[in-house]
Amino acid sequence: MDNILEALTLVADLRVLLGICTGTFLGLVMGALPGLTAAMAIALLIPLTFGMGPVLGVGMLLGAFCGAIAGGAVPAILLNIPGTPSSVTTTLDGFPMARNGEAGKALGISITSSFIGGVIGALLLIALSLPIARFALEFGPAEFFALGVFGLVIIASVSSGSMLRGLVAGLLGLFLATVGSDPMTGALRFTGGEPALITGIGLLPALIGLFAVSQVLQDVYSRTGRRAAEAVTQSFDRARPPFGLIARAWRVVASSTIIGVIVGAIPGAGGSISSFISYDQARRMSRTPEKFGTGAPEGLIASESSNNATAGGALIPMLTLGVPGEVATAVLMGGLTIQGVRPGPALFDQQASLVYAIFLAFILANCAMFLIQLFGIRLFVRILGVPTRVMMPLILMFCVIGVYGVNGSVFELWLMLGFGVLGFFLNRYGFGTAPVILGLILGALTESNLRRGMTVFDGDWTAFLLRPISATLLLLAVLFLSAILWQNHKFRQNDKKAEEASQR
Amino acid sequence: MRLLSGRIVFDLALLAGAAWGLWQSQSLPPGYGGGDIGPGDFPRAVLVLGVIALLAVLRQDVSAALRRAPDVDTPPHLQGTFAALLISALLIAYVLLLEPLGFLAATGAFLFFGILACSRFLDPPDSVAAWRRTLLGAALVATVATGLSFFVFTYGFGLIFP
Repeated sequence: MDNILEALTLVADLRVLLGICTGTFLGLVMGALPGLTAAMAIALLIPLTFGMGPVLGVGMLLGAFCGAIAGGAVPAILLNIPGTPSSVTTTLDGFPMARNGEAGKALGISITSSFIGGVIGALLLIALSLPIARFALEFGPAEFFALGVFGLVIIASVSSGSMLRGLVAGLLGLFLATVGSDPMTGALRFTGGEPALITGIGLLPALIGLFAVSQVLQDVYSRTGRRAAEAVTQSFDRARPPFGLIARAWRVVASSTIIGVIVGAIPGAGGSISSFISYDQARRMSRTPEKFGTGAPEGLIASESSNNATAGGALIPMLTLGVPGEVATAVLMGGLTIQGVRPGPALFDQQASLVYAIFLAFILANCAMFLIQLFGIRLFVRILGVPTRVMMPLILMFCVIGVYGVNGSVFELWLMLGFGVLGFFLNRYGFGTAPVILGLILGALTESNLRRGMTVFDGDWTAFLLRPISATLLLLAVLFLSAILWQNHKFRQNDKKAEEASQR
Repeated sequence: MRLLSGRIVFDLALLAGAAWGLWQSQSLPPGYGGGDIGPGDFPRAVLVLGVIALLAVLRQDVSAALRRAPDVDTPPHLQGTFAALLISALLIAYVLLLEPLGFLAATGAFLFFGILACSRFLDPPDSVAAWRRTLLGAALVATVATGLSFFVFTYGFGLIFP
């Protein structure tokens, strides 16, 4: 109870509330711009949170996370372009509604469903996190090592097209985490004589390079030579929250929210999967399934309540176990680590009030997202008109300001640039960038627990396989790895068959 | 020639990096024995796994390149490559000039040329008048954005710029 009261006083600070609102607003802006992702929004905001206290900084990042997911609905409804991958299903009924002259109603449904899904997701996050974290408190070096391996396998397999390539990216991150002074012996590793690397590779230049600079390079590369889509303006009075309509569709809201939280909590799943499952479920539950895809409000409700509930679900493994399940939470975890908040079971034990403050900030971010969108929806619609040719150099300027402003180090700018180019190629050739960041974050934890474990168990490595929790986690990692490899093999076989059939 | 794809060159670059890491890790002190893991052991294990995985990726890419019929080779997106290279070059110039020129001049110049380059590649103006408007717009956005960001980050967030 004392922790909850302390958390309340931490959050009920005007600066924290303003920080959450600012983060949410910036997240909404980034989410509304097609091509800019939630991961990029968080990465760009991290430098701004440096001088702030942990609650203010984390609140701002959570606001950006919430806002970016919700903001993706605006271009999905008005332009038929999903702002984020999780709003793909929003286009199915949102855009037809807008084309039928119901843009205001569609935006109102989207905003209200996002809010309800987000808040219920946050409440389930609170309810489920504490028992999981309490269980995870029993973890020792073997379990933490196994958790690190499990996390890397999961993110490597889901964030890129091929498991093998994702593993290469994860191993690259693990290797980069070893650069600098060895924490146990002080020996310098892979620094190449560069004094700036003694403390290791900074997380901030890596995050901004891999998620912002590489994305800009990718956008410039892929959009060059293609005419920009004609902006279609939709006229609407205002986005009204249709509470009556949503109350009548309570079964869709309930099922979509629960699906969102469950799918979000499964490492590797994410918003796009949950919104497709929820959309399909809502169609099955509907008395008029034939209307889905032609502007059915239930379809829009299912998609938006589900993808925002996923955010709460995705925070469960990240906060309790320190294992982010998808790209945006991997970046968010990087931001928390930079803030001095290390997600994992120990956080619940040692900084319980901070954990409750994070929960409260997340609920407030959802409320801010609802109010900002409700009253400022016209602004987000206008943002769609900002030309890419102006946006791209501005984002790069923010990257440079963010990285340089923190330490005044030009070397870190070169690192950022290097990671940007590396990220461009990693994405282009299907390796993905999220495993690199997760390897960089989990590398130190995995290596130190492996070394500590070997010392504790007198050099007997079988102890890692014989302890029940670490054995289960390692077995799960192996099973997951095998399942994905088998799936890839099946896909390749099907492709081969299709190729042979087309040659005949 | 079919093997000379960007994908395969990138795989080889990663392999070369991993080989360099393995070579460097040889000079790191070993563990004290009895199951102790030295500073070079963990990165070496990671790199060995990386080399094995990369060889498998390379094998996949080479066999995919050989399987592909020559007539279905997709031509490289040269214009896109040039645009990404130009933006990277502008960013390099920005980083190089940030301290010698100072934040205001370097940022203003980067934004001005960055917007012009992006306009040329992403949304090319179709007449002299349109180019004139683009030039004016770029100058205006560069000036306002540079001034505003300097003001906000210096006085609002307390950052110190050269």
